[in-house]
Amino acid sequence: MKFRGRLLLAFVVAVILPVAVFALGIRRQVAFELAHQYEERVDALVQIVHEDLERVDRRVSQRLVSLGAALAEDNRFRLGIQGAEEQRAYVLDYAERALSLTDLSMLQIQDPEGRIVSSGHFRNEFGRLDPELPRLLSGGVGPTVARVRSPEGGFLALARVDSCRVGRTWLKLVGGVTVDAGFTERLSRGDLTVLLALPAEAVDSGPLGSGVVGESITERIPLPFISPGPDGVPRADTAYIVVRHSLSGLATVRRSLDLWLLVAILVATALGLLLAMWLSFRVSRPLTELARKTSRIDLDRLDVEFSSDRRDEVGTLARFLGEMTERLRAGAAKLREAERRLAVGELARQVNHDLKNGLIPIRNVLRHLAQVNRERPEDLSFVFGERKGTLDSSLEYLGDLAANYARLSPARAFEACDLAAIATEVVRGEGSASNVKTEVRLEPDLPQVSADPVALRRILENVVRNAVESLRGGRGTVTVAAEPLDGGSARWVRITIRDDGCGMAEEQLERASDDFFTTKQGGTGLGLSIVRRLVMDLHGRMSLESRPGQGTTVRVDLPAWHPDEKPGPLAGQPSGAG
Amino acid sequence: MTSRKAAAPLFSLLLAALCAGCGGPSPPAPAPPAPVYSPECWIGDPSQVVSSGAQAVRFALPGPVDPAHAPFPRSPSERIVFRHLYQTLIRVDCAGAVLPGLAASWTGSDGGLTWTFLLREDARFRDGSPVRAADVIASWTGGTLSGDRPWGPDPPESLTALGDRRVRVTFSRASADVPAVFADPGLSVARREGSTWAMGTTGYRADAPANEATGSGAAPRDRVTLSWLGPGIPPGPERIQFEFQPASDARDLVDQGFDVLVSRDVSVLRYVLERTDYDSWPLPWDRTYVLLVHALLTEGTPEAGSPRGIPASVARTLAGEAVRAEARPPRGPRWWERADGCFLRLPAGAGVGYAARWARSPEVEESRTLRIAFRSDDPTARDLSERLVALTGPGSARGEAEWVRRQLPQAAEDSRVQALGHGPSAFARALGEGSEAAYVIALPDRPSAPCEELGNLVASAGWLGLRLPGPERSGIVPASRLDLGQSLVSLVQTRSRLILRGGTPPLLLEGDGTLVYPATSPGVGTR
Repeated sequence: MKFRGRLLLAFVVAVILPVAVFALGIRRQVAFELAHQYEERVDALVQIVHEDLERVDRRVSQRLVSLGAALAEDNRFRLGIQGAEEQRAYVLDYAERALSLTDLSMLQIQDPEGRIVSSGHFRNEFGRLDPELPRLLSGGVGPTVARVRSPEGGFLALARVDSCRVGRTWLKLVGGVTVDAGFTERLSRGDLTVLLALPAEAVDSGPLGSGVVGESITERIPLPFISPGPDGVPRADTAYIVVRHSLSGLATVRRSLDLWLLVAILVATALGLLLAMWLSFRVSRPLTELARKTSRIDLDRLDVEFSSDRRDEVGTLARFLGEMTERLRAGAAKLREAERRLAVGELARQVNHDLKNGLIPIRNVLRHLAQVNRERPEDLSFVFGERKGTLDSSLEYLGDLAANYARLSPARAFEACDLAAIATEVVRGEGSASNVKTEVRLEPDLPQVSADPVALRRILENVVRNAVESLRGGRGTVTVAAEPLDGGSARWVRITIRDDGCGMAEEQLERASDDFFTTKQGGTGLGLSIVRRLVMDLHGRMSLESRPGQGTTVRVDLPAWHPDEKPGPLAGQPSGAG
Repeated sequence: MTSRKAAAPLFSLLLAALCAGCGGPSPPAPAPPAPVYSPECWIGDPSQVVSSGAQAVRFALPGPVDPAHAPFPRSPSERIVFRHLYQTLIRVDCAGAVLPGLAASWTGSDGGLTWTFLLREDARFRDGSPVRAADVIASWTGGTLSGDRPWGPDPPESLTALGDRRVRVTFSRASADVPAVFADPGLSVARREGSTWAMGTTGYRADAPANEATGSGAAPRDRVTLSWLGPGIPPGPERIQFEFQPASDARDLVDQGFDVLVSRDVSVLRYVLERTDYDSWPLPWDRTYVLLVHALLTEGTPEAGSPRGIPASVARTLAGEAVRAEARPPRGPRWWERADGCFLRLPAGAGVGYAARWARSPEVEESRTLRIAFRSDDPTARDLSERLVALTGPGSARGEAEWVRRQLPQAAEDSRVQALGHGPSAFARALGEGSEAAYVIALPDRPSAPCEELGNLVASAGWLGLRLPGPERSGIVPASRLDLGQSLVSLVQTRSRLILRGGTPPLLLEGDGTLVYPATSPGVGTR
C-alpha cells in the first residue's frame, strides 16, 4: 500500500471511529432519557386515572344517595311499592326518569329479595331476580366494572350499590355510568391511551405486569369485574385498566437521531477524506517529485536539480539530495577528467604507434635516399622519383591520422561567446528553412557566456531544429530567449527555447536525453543526447519541461564569461533554476 | 267525560229524527234504512253539533296528505281528509250499521248476487252537477281516477247504470247483506277535471294555493284546509284545517292549540288529564301487536289450524306493565285466523333466503344470539320486544322464559336474546329477508280489506310461504294454506285516544275507524 493510501486510511479511521462512538453514546443516552421520561408520564397518568375512576365512583355514589333520599320522599313511589295498582306504571318508569335526571347510564331499583322493581336502562326487565349483582358490588373495594344486561345485549358500567328505605321496605339501588370507548378516551391524556381489558382479553392485551411491551409502555390497574356466567348469574373476576404509551414517538426520535448521526458521520468522513487527500497530496507530492528526480540521476545525467524553498523535512531532503547531486556532479567531472587523462595516455600510445607506423616508411625512404646519395648519387633523382609515392602516401596517412585525432579531441576552447549573435544567426538559419514563426527575446545587457563557440552553435542548432520539427504541420512559434540569472552577479545565463508543438508525455520526457531515443521518424536519437553532453562539457545544465499538446521548453544554463576565472564547473546552483 | 258519552246516543237519535223530517230525496221502495249513527259512534259533546256551524277547527294529522291520491286514500291521514271530500254509496258506522251515503236506498236480488243502488236525488258534485249512475261507474272503473279498487278476490261481474239514478252491481258470490265494500273509500265517487283535487260530492272544498293550477306534480302537503261552501249551514265546522307536524312532541300540538288530535302517546294523555280545556276519548281497540315468527322452525308448534297461545301471565304483564300505551291482552280469535276466503299472492322465491339462514345456520349456531326486531319509531313494539327479551334473562320466571324461547327459531338454553330496533326501511328489508329471529309488528284490528292486508303482509314477509311445498311457493294460494295463526302470536291490543278541545264539534267514528265530521253525512246534515 502506498504511503498516500496508508495516510488516507489512518485519517479516515481516526475521524470515523470517534464520531461513531460519540454518536452511539448520544443515541443510547437519549433513548434512555426519553424512555425514562415516558415511564414517568405513564406512572403519573396511572395515578390520574386512579383518581378519575375514584371521582366517577364517588359521583355515582353521591347520586345514588340523592336518589335514595328522593325516593324516600316520593309518595307515589311509596304507594306503588306497597302495591297500589294506579302507581304501578309510575314505579316502572321511575328509574328511567331518574336515569336522565342523575346522568347515570344504568339504574336498577331492587326490592329486598333482589327483584327488580324498576330499571332505567332496561325498563321492561322488572320482576327479574338479580340479587347477585348488588351483593357482589357491595363486597367490592373501590370502583367496580359490571356487565349489565340491556335489551340490545348488554354493556359495561362502572357501578355502585346503595340502599334506601321507602316505607318499611329497604330498596337496593344499583347505578353506574357506561364504560365504553368514550369513557376510556376521557381517561386518556395526549398520546397516552387507556383501554379496558376484560378478563378474556387480558391475555391478548399483553403480559400481565408493567413495563415496556413491544412498541409501548404499559401499566395496568386491576379492577373488580362482575359479569354473568354461563348460567346468567353474575360472578366476580378481575378486569384491567390498561394505560399504554406508544413508543412510536421515541422510535421517531431514534430514527431522526440515527439519521442525523449518520449524516454527521458521512459529513465527517467526507471532510476527513478531503483533508486526508489534501494532506497526503501535500506530503507525498514533493516526495514523489524527489523520487522521480532521484530515479533520473545517473553519472551521465547529473543535471537533475533538487531545489526547494520549503523549510520542512521535505525541503531539507531536497536540499540534501541537491547537495548530493552536486557532489556527484563534481565527482563525475573528476572521473571524466581521469578518464580523459587515461584516454589521452592511451591515445598518446596509439598516436605514437600510429605515428611510428607513418614515420617508419618515411624513415626507410629517407635512409634509402641517403644510401643512394652516398653510393649512387646519379640515381638519386631516379630513386627519389621512384620512392616519392611512398613518401606521399605516408604523409597522406599522417595527415589523415591527424585529422582523425583532431575529430576525437573533446577539448573545448572556452572563450567569451556572443550568445546573442550566435542565437540570432542560428534562429535565422533554422527559421528561413521553414515557415515556422521564430522569435528571439534577448535581455538587454546580456553577458557573454563562457563556451566553445562551435559547441554553443551545435547546442542551439540541435535544440532549435528539434523545436521546429516538433511543430505540427510546420505551423507554430519557436521562441529563443536568453536572460541572466542570479540578478546582478550574472554568473549564469539562461537560454530558453520554447515551442508550442506536440510536446511529450512524462515518460517520453524522462527518456528524451537518452542516446538513440527518438520519437521522430528517421531520427537518430542522438540530438538531445549530444546537446546534453555538449552542455555538460561547457559546465552547464539543461532541463526539459513538456506536456503533450502544449509544447516543450528547454532551458540551458551556461556560465557567464568572467575573464579572471578559469573555465570549469561552478559550485552552487543558479538561484533561478528550477 | 262519562256524562258526555252518555248524552251522545240520545242526541244522535234526536238529530236523526230531525233530519228525517228535513226533506231530501223521496224514499224509494223499499224504504231506505234510517240514517242514524249508532250512539256509541259519536265522540265529543253532541251539543256542539248545532252551534258548530261557524267554527273553525285545527285537526292534527299523523302524516302528510297527497292530493294526487284523491279520492282513494293510502294513509290514515288521507283517509280522514278524503272522507270529508268524497262519499261512497253507503257508510258503515263503528257499530257495523249500514247507513245511506250517496245512495238513498239499495236492494239485493238474485239471492244476494245483484245489488241495485238508488242515488240520492240531491246528490251533487261540487260544481253543482248531479251525480249520475254513469259517474259512479266511471269512478269505480278508472277513467280519470287512478288507484286500485278494493274489490278483493271477488270483483263484480258487471256494473250497469239503470238510468241516471240506479246502479246495478252483479257479483259471482252472493251476499246476504249489502257488501261493506261499497263503504270503502276506495269506491268513493269523484270526478277529476284538471284541478289538484278531484271533484267531490260533499259541501267541503279543499283550498288550493294561489299558484296551484293543476294536479300534475302536486307534492304531499303538511297542511290542507277544507272550507264549507254549502249548500246550507254545516252541522260541523265551517273550516277544518288539517295539519301534520313531523317529529313533534304530541304535547306541543296541544300547546299550539290544535282542536283535534289522535294519539297513543301516554305522555300526551297524561298531559291532557292535567288540563281542563281538553278531554280525551278512547277509540276502539284498533291495533294488535303480534310476534311474527315462522311456525315450522320453532319448537312447540301447535297442531295445524290452532293458533299459538300466549301464557296469561305474560299477556297480563305485557298489556298492563310492559307497554306504555293503552293496551289489553288480545281477545278472541283474530281476523287473520278467519281469513279462509282470502287468496294471497306469494312473491317469487318466497322464503328461500330465510330457509338458508335459519334452517341450519352456522352463524346462528355459533353466535347463539337471536334478535327480536321492531320498528324503532314504534314505542309499543319496542316495549314488547324488550319485555320478551327481559323474560329470557336469568332470574325471570322459568315458564315464561321457556315460552319466549319456544317462539324463536333454533333457540337453545344458552342462546342470547336481544331486541333490535330498525328504521322503517331497514325493518322492511329485515322483514323481507327474514334475517331476524322474530319481529314485533302491528296489525289493524278491523281492516276494511282483510285480504288485501294479509296480501301485503305476505308480500313483505315472503318467508311465511315456507310451510308450503316448493311448487306452491309462487302464485296465488288460499290463506288457509299458510295457517297464519301459527306464525302470528298475538301479544297485546292497543287503542288510541281522541283528544278534543272543549267546545269543538263532535266527530263520528266510522266502521273502518275513520273520524269524520257529521256534515259530510247527508243523513245528519241540516240542509
